[in-house]
Amino acid sequence: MALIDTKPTAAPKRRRYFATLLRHPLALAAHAVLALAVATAVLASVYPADPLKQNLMSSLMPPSLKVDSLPGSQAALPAFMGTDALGRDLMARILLAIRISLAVSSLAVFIATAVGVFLGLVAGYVGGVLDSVIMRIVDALLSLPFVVLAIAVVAAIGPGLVNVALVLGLTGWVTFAKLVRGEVLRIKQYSFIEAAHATGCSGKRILFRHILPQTVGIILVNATLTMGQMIISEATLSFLGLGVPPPTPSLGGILSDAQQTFFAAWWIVVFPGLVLMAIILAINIAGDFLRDYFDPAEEGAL
Amino acid sequence: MSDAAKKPLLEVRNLRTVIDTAHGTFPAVDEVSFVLERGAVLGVVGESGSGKSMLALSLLRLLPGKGRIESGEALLDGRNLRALSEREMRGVRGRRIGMIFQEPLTSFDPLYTIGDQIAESVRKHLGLKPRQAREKAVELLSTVGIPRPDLACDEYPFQFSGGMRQRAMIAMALAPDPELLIADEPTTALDVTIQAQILELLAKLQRERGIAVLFISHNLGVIAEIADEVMVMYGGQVMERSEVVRLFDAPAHPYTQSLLEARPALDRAPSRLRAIPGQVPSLESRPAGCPFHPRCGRAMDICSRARPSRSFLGSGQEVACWLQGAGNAFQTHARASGAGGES
Repeated sequence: MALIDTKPTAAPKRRRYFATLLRHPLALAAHAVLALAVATAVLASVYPADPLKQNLMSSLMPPSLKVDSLPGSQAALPAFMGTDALGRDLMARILLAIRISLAVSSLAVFIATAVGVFLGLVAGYVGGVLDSVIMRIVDALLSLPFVVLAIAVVAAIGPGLVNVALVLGLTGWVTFAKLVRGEVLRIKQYSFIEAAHATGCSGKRILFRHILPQTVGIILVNATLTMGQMIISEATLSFLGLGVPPPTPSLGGILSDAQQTFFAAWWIVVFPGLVLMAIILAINIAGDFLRDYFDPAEEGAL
Repeated sequence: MSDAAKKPLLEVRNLRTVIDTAHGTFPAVDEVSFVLERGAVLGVVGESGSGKSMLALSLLRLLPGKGRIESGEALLDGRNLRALSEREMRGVRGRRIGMIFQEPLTSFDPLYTIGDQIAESVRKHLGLKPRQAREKAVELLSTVGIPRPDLACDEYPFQFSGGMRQRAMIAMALAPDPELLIADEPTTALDVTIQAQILELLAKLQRERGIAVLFISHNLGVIAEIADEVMVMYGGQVMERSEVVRLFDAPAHPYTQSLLEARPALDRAPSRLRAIPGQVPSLESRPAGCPFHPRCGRAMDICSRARPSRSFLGSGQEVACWLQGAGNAFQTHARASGAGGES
C-alpha cells in the first residue's frame, strides 16, 4: 500500500538561503558590505601605515593620492583619507576602528543574547513569580534612557574595551528576554510540547531541546538588528568619552575628535561617518532579510 | 470482594479535578470512578467541554496551569499516581501510560525527524543505544504500516500526511511498550477513510499486544467500533457506564438516549436529526444537581436540587440519574458512596 510515492525533498537549508539571497540584490549587497567589513576588521593590521603614530608636521593633511603625502611613514603610502589633528593616518585609524567597533559590538551582542535568551526562556517557561520578577527588571531597564544608564555604569566600573562591551551587553539583553519569553509562551501551547510531556520528558529537556530550537530564527534576527544598535551605542559612548579609551581608535572616538576641527578638516568626519553608516545600513538590511527569511508568513514572498 | 485478589490495571476512585479561574474554582472532572482491566478498551464519550480530555490529562498529571486534582485517586496497578513524585511520574508517562493526541499535525516537533522522536522515547525509557533505538523505531514504523520505514524514519513530520503522522504517533506511543494507552480523539482530525484505517490499526495492535486503551471520542460510531465498555460523560460527571452493546440497545440515562437519537441512522427514514435542546453549560455556569437537568426532557423537581447517586442496573451497567435511583432517592449522593462498589 503505497500511501506516498513521491516525497517532497527538502533542499538543504543553507543552499536555499543563498539561492534566496541571489534573488534580492539589495540584501546581497548588504551581505557583501558586511563580508568586507569583517575582512577589514580581521586584516586591519596588514595595512602598512601606523594608526597610532603621531606627526604634528603632517597635522590635518587632506586626502591625497601622492605617494609622499604622508611624511615620516616608513611605508611609501599616500594618505588616502588624510590625517587627523595629531597627524595620524586616518585610513589606518579607520581600518583599526572597524575592528574595534565590530569586536566590542559582537561581544556585547553575545552577552546580550546569552543573558536575554536564558532569562526569557526561564521567564516564559516557569512563569509565575519568577516571570514577574524578570519582566519587571526588563521594564525597569527599558524605562531608563540607555545613555544615562551607560554613564552610570561606566562611571562605576571605568572605561575600557571589555567594560564597554559589558555595559552594552547588560543593557541590551532586555529585548531578547522579551522576545524569547513571548515565543516560549506561544510555543508552549503547541501540542508537540504536551506530547513531549506525555512521553515523560523533563521540563529542562523540553525547554532546551524542543522550545529553544524553535526560537533560533527570531534570536538570530534580533541579534543582527541589535548588532547595528550596539555599534551605534559604542560610537555614542566613545563620542561622549565613555567608550574605548584613546589612543585606541573607534569609529565613535574618531568622530568625537573630529568635532574640534570639523570646519578645517571635513574628511575626519565624512570618512568614519560613511563607514559607520555603510555598516549599520548593511546590518539592518541583512537583518530585515533574515527576518523575512525566517518568517513563515513571508515564505511565499521571498 | 477482596482488594488484594487481582488488582485492575487502572482504578479511578472519585477523581475530582478543578480549575481555578478568576471567578472561583470549578470542577472539570467531578467525582469520576471507573475500573479499566488489562487489555480492555474503555470508550469515553461526551460533547466538547464534558471533561473527557481533562480526565485523561489528570491521569497523566499533565493538567494545564490552572487545573489541579482536588481529591480522589487513580491507581495504576494499585499504585496511587497522585502520590508519586514528579520524577517517578515522568517514568510512568510514556513508559506505562502512552498517549495519542488529537492533532497528529502538531504533535510532532517539526525540527526533528520522525525516527529521532520515536527513538528519543525508546532511549529514555528502555535505555537503548542510539543504533538499537533507531532499529526499534524502524520496526515500529513498519508495525504501524508505514511504507519504506527505513526511509520514513529520516523524514521530518511535514513530509508525512495526516494519516501517516497519526500512524507514527501510534508508533511513538507504543515504543516503550506501555500497558495503558490513552487515545484522545485520535481520529477526529482525519478524514473518514483514514479514520477507519487508524481505528482498524489501533484495534489490531490493541489485540496483539493486549494493551488497555482509554479511548476518548465525541463520536459514538467510533466508540462502537473499538470499545468494550463505554462511559458517557457530561459536565465533568459520568452519566452512564455500560458494556458497549448494552449502551446502544438499552441506554438508561436520558442524556445517552438523546445522544443516540441525535445520530443519523440508516434503518430509519431520513428525517431531521433530533438535536438536544440547549447547550453544554460552560465550566462556570454548571447547574446544581444533575448537570443535565436543564436540557433533560424528563427532569423532575429533585434533579435541580441534588446530584443523583450511581445506581447499578446489573450486568455492569451504571447510571447516575434520579429516574433510575427512585429506590435510593433519599440516600446520600455518590460522593459518599464507597469506591469500586460494583459487584
